[in-house]
Parts: sequence; C-alpha cells; structure tokens
Amino acid sequence: MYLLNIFETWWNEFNNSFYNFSPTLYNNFASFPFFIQLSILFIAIAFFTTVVTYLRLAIRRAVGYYKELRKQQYTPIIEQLISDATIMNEELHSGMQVEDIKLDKHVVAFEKELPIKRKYIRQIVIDDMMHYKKIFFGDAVLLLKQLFIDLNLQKDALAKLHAFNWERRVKGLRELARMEVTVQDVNILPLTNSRNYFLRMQARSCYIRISKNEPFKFFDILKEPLTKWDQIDLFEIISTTPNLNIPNFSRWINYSANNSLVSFCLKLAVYFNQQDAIPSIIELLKTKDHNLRAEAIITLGQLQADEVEDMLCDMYNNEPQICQVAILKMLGLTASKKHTDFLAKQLQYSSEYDIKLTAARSLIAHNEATKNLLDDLMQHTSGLTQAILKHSLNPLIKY
Amino acid sequence: MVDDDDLMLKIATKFLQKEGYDVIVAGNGRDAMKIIHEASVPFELIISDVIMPYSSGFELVSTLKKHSLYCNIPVIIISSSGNETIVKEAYQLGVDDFLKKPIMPQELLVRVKKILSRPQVNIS
Amino acid sequence: MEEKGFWERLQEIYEAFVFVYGFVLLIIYGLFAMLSSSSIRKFLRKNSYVDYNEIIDSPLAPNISVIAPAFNEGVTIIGNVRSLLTLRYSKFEVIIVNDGSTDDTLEKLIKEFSLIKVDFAYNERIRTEPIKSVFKSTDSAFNNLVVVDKENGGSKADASNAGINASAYPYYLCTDVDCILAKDTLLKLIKPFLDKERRVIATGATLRIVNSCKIDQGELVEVIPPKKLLPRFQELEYVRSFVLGRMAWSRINGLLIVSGGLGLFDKEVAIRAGGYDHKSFAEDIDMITRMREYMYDNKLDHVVEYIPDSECWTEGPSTLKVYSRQRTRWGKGLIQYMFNHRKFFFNPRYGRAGLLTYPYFFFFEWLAPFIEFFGILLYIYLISTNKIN
Repeated sequence: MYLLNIFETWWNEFNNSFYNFSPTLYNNFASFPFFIQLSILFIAIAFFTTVVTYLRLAIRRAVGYYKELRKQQYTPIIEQLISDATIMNEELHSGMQVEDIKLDKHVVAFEKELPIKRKYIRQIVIDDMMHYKKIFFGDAVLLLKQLFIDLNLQKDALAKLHAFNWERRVKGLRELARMEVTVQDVNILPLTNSRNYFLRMQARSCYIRISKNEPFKFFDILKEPLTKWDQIDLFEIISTTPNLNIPNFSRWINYSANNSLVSFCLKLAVYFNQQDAIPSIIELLKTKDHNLRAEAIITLGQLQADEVEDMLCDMYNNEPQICQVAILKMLGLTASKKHTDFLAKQLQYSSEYDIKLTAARSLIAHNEATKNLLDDLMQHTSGLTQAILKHSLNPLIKY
Repeated sequence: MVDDDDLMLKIATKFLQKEGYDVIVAGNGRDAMKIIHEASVPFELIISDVIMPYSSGFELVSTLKKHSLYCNIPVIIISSSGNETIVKEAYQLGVDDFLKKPIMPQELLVRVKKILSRPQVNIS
Repeated sequence: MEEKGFWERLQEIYEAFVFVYGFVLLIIYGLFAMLSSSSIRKFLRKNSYVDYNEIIDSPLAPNISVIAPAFNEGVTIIGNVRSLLTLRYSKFEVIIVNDGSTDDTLEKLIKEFSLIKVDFAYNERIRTEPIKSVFKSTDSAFNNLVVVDKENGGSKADASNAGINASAYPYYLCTDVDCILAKDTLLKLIKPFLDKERRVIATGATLRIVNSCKIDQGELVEVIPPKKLLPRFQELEYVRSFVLGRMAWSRINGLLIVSGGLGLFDKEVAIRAGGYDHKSFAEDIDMITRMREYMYDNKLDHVVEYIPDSECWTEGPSTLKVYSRQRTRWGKGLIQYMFNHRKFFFNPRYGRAGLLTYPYFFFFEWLAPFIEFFGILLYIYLISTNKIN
C-alpha cells in the first residue's frame, strides 16, 4: 500500500509537470489508457538512455582513437631521445663514469623536440621509461633514473599519490617504486593504512622498495588474508629490490596468527635459503590447518631438512591425504636415501593414485641410489603400480 | 634478433649496430625461420626470446638444430622468465647462452663477442 | 456495464500479464545495465595498473592445463594447436583430446609435433569412454603438449572429462580446438582466482564471432565485424549476453553460465561435482550449476567470476540451416537443464543462483518462447476479428 501511494504521488507529480511543459502534448497523452501511458513513458526513458549511452561510447572511442594517434606520433621520438641519453649515451661509451655524466644537453633535447610541458607527453615518457627498466639494467638504467629526475617526472608520480581516484594513487606508487625513487615516509605511510584494500596492499609492497625504514614492518600488523596475487606482487618486489635488508622470516612463521602470511613467509624462507628458519617450520607442523601443514612439510624438503624425515614418517599414517602426499614429496626433495623402503611401500600398497605417483617420483629423484630398487619393482609389480612406474620413468612425461 | 617486444628489438638493434654488427629482426619464430631460409648471406648468431606467437623461441632453436644448414649457428636466448626448468630446457636444446631480462647491454655485448670469436665450424 | 464474456476476461488477463512481463523484463535489463557497468568500471579500475607479466615470471604462479577436445579438425588442427602452445604463460600444458576422429587429425598431429606413444598412467577419476593411447612429443620444444586419443563418446563432454583425467594441474581451461584464444587469456583468466579472498571456482570471459576476422595460421591478426547479416546479429547478441548479462550476474555472485568455448575451472571442484555430463545438450551451464550445487551443499563459500575482456573468437553459423540446428540444440539443452536442476527454483539454499538466476532463466528464457508464440497467435486473432483499438 505504501509503495502504491508513493507511485500515485509520483505519477500525479509527473502528470502535473508534463502539463506545465506542454498542455497540447499532455492532452494527447492523457487520452491514452494507463497502460499505454506507462509504456510510452518507459519507451521514452529507454530511448533516451540508449541515445545517451551511444553518444558517450562514441565520444569515448573518438577520444581514445585520438589519444592513440597522438601516442603513435610521439613514441618514436621519445624512444630515440631516451636511447640517446641512456644506452647510446656517447659519454658512457667513451668510458666516462656514470656518476660524472651530466644529462643537461639531453634534457634540453627533450624540451626542444617535445611539448614536454604537456601532461600526456610526460606520461608517455614515464611509461616508456618503465618499459626500458624491465628490459635493461646496469649503467644505462642508472642514467635512466637520473634522466627521470632531471626531467622532474618524479613530481608527476608524487602528484598522483594525492589524486582523487585510488587507482591513480596506485599508479603513482608503482611508478615511484619501479624507478626506485626514494620517497618520504610522510607521503606513503598514510596510504599503507588506507581503507581501500588494493591501495593499502600496493602501498605496503611499494614501501618495501622506496622506504629506507623497516620495510617489513607491516608484516607485524597484517590481520587480513594475503591473497595469492598480493604474494606474487610482494615476491616480485622483494626479490628484485637491490640491497634490501632481508629479515629472518621465522619471526612471522612462529608468531603470526595470519595463515596466509605464514604461508608467504615459508616461500620467502625457501627463496632466501634461510636454514635457521627450519626449527620454526618444524614447530609449525603442529598447526591444525592441513594446507599450511602440507606447505610446511614441502618447505622443509626444499630446505633439505633431512633431520626431520623420521618424524614425518612416524606421523604419516595419521595425516590426511594432502599431508601424506606432501611427506612423500619432501622425501623426494631431500633424496637422503634413508627412506627409500618407506617410499617403495607406499608405491606398492597404497590404493590412491596421487600417493603412488608421488612415491614413484620421489624414488626416481634419488637417481642412481634407487636404480636397482626401481628395476626390481618394475619386474615384480603389475597393474596400476607398474603403470605408474612406467609413467614416472618416462622422461617425456614431466608432470 | 627475434622478440615480440618491439622496444627490445629497436634498442638492442641500435646498440649492436653501433658496435658494428649487422642486425635483422623478426617478431616471432615463424618469421625468423622464413628470414633465415631466404637470407643470401648465412647468419652468424641468433638472439631469441622464448614466449612469442606462432612459434616459440624453443621451437625455433629446435628446428634450427635439426637442420643440416643451420645447426651450427650459435643461439643466445633472452627470456623474461629465468626459472630453472626453462634454463635447463634451453641448454638441453643446445643453446649457447641464456640471459634473463633485465639484461645489461654491456653483458650482452661481451657474450656476443665471445661467441663470435669462437672458431667457426665450416659448414659449406 | 456490459457482461464481460469469459474469453474476453481471459484475454484481458493475458494482455495484462504480457504487459507486466515485458515491463518487468525492461526493468531487469535496466538493472543489468547498472550492475554490469558498475562491475566493468570496478574491473577496469582494479586492472588499470596491473602488470600481467609479473605472473609469467613468478615462481608462485599456479600451473594450468589447457584442454581442447578435437573431432575431425584435420584442416585447421595444426595452426590451432600451435596457437594454444604459444599462449603467454610460463607453466601450462596443452591437452588435445582426439575424440575418435575419422579424418587425418591424429596423423597430422603426430607428424607435425614428432609424437610417440607413451605409457601414460591414466587416472580415471571421471568415467569416460576408453582411452586408446596417449602421445607426447620427442621434441623438447613441445614438451608441454599431450595428445589423448580416445574412442568417440558422442559428445564433447566425454572428451573434456578425458582431458581432465589426463591433466596434472589444479586448474584447467576448457575450450574448443577451433576457438581462437587471445594470447593473454591464461593471464587474464587466472587473475580472479588469485586476487580474491573468497574461493573462485570458475572464471569466464567474453566470446566473439570470428567469421570475418583476419586469421593467419590460427592467430588473430585483425578484428573485423562479421559481414553477413546472420553472424552480425549473433555478434551483437553475444556482446549483449556476455557483457551486459554475465557481468551483471557475476557482480551479485549469481552466475550460472561459463561458456564451453572458454572457461577456467578449479579441477578439484569440477571432479567432485562429477565432471561434464555427456547426456546433456548444454553441458557448460550444467557443469557450473553442479559445481555450485556441490559447494552450496557442502556449505563452502565460493564465487564464479567473469571478466569483460574478449578472449575467445569462435565461428558463428552463417547459414539458417546450421543456425537453426545450433539454436534447437541450445533450446533442448535449456529445457533439459531446467528440469534437471529444478531444485534451484527459488531455493535460498542455493544463494542468489537459486533465488534470482534460476527463476530468471525460467521466466525469461524458458517461458519466453511460449509467451511470444501465444502472443503472436492472439495478435493474429485480434487483427482478423477487428478487435484492435
């Protein structure tokens, strides 16, 4: 009833304004039955929104096309100018030290050949420089970074940090991080606590590269789950930042209640081969989360912690399948030859395909040490076991 | 030089040309094979990326190594992915060197010079 | 006041019903437009700064199996397989399932990629027709190619299941071997699985019509809208249905379709849901619905995601004969699907898919032809009896 009242009031309002707009049209309109009136109204709305949408799309297309043309026009010039200042720099080729090279004449060239004061030109230059940085490193890139600052492009990036749209702020952060510009904490710390999840994560990950103070501080306060994508992004920054002070990740493996962070730290511990994280990882085996436990087991294998193999074999029978597969995989990673019989037993007597396959692969990973055992198994087994052995032994089947 | 990244091709070409080398480019493995077939003068070195449309870098290397005329042309792979499996595979296919992007231009030059200064096997 | 006859009464009621029906549909489309544009805007903002190449280089990136069933595709098989092998991604395998082809599909593959038979331990987690053999390449440049040769199962579903059984990785992409995929398909489709906190069980992307596009050995060179009228209508229909409809559904986590031409799935959930149904004419909708059913029944939180980018180009029927066959099959598939999953109807146990999506399909997809047909009949009757106002 309430809705009906609202509709009635609105309908009367509409009729009144239509009448005020044009009495003749309104009289025509009012002569139609109610259903037709409603239909005409909705057709008008639909028609209007369609036309507006088409116009917007057409305008957007036209603008995009024009921008693309503009970009194509200036890109070759920009690429030439950047090359001349960096990779093809005369002074660099003549053997001068990078620190002594001045880029003034190149900056002048930029100002002469491009409308460098225009924002869109500067953005194209920044994008090109970021592309350069992905392809090259070394002295040429040191010059590139110098050029970035001499052209005052870091101002554009910093300005983005205060933009209205969060994705522009993220873009600014990434530009600063990619070009390795040091940024004052006051500019970036507020962003690391932003309410917007994406901005927050990007700020934290860029903080690692562009701040000099305690880059991994936010690991301590991270309460929300770290998505796989964030891990990929963080991993890329951590593994490519020069001179980064790498902490001992066992700190968080031990004490963090955030399982996704613990999982990420396990991967980092492997990447940086942190042998002293092994005791914490062994402690982690007590966790109730199966997936995390399985990951910890595999990490121990990747760190070659063969001292823990006996314990793992003892707990094998009480573990869910995912952890059993992890234990078998771990034995293959360490290839310590101490548990080949155990592996052979699992291969022969388990009825699960995944278990058999992992056991077979781990046996094969021992190379020469298990050659005789494998030949023996091949001759004396049949059915699925033998099929899996043949499958795993075939060098063409890698997975 | 084979790569689907235009900027890489442009810059590396200019850089190598400045050092006195003659560089021909291709955007993917298939075009590269075509150019190699149709070339009047045999190529002395091939620098290739891995992931490219039509025909990957590895397929290019594999085809070259099987061909009696081209199996001795040295190959340098430049890839943005440097994981163990790809590196192992590259060497198994018979490449002469592997570089992971980002590369140091000087480093590329040094390796090119090293490979080209090796005594060439006469294939005619 | 005249006594209104029974038929006239009925006619009035029917007319009012049709009016309300059309009205509601219009409002729903308006809602779709709003939801979809908000969803697309969100997607664009989130991805405006993303460097997809980070996934290629990362050791943390997941492995993906690409499964493409093939039946009598001898003419274009080599180009298409090459196109799949050169997708931009670092850790993936391409599984071509030769579904009992009677032409030279298999011979061509064996010759081109130097394939030999291998002793493959086939893990039949989903029941399929028997596998004859599995082939791998002796050329290590193609070491991620697997060709499974099997007896024809009468449907693509059976071949897809065989591909799932032979796959080694936790995610699989299901496509037709004659579909042309964009090079960054794997990168774009895997991202939703990685950047959401909630578990994603499937992602889909937009399909387009390839009829007049420039193709070079299985690679898309230039996108040109179809020149003939019939495929042109289909292109428009695809854009409307994918970008308008599916983006809107995915915004409210009610998506029940991920097209068979392109979809990335969580393999474990797909297997637990029973794999593809070879008796179904619409195995793609059926699959997603059963995956959702499995997740809801086990009270596991999940989403089905959708990205608006055009990633797959497929051939659209250009003659009325082929077109009507396709639509008849889709129609049969819909009827079969509605019956098989009738427990979704307004069932809150199945979340928004049950409360909104399934009823929408029922009223505005399944019921629509009946209403239109009777409407036309009624209109003819009204014209012939001079009853139009």
